[in-house]
Amino acid sequence: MPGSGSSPCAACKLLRRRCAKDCVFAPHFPPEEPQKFAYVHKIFGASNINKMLQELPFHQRGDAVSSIVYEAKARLRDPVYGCVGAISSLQQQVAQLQSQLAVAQAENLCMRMHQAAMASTIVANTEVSPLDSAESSDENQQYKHVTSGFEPFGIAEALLS
Amino acid sequence: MSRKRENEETIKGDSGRVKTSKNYRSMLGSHSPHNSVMPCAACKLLRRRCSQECPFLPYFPPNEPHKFACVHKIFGASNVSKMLLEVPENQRVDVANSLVYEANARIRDPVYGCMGVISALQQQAQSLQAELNAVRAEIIRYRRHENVVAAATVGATLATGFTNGAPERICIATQTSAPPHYAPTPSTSSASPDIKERYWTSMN
Repeated sequence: MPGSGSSPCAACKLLRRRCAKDCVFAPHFPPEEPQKFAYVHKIFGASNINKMLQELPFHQRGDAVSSIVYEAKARLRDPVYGCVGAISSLQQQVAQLQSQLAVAQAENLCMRMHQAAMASTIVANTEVSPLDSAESSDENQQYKHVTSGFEPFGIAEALLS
Repeated sequence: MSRKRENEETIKGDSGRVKTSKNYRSMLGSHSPHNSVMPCAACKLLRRRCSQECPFLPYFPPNEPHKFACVHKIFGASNVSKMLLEVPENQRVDVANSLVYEANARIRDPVYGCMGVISALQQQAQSLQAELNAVRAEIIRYRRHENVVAAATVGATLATGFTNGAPERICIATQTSAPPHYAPTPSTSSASPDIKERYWTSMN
């Protein structure tokens, strides 16, 4: 029970004050975890933590305390950037992944176009047989151009260029 | 009335002397290299004398009062001062900027603060990685298929090229009669890992 007459919470112990029954800190800073409050007190200060917690509904204070403790620890570990260092690193990672994805998607699209071009060429040559010569001479010329220098990747490269 | 007393108490706590708004002009000691007229945003908010040695002066200029206001709300002026003075001078700009960022994040999201930003970025990175893996797998599938088709085409050409004077026609005829997918042969399966390796190298 918070402030129930047993040992004071970690906050009140550090601040050397009486731990009231309705102590804001008591539910979130138990006496067996003194370091937790020490971290947040060093970075944010007890009064600021008190204000922040009081501005929130009770069911959200646990999450708020966890995030505050995380930020305080990050700031103690890295006095210059704190947890902003992690944010910066993640932003770089996201940007890198986005560019890699763009490259991969472009390559995928090229390959799809290439395969589509190959497939359409094969189908076109199947429909108009150069042996029948029933079609117009223009079309035959077109297909001869395609067939005479047939190369698996040449058509797609021409399309891409 | 009580607000005025509170301000006076704040000022007393800082400098030991009571200052009123009339004495703002006399607050300026020597001219600061950054601003010779106005105190820094911190001293303006705290209503105290700003000097050249003020630790906040280089990082909280008077034209950006909101910067100090948000760090003061979350961290408090004395904590900010301590954090600035704990690091070498060349790193203090980064300290101030990161504190402003953290404070703004906490004001925007009082429950999660920067943790919310980190969590969102982690999710975004995971999602992008999954999408990238999927696209790369598809590319490998396509390349494998292309290798198989190309190998079959070359094989068919070599097999029938010497029996007919029009190898290109035979090539096409063979290709059109070939099934769309071939079972991977040992030669093609040995070729695909090399291509896969070259692909990853070029991607990375």
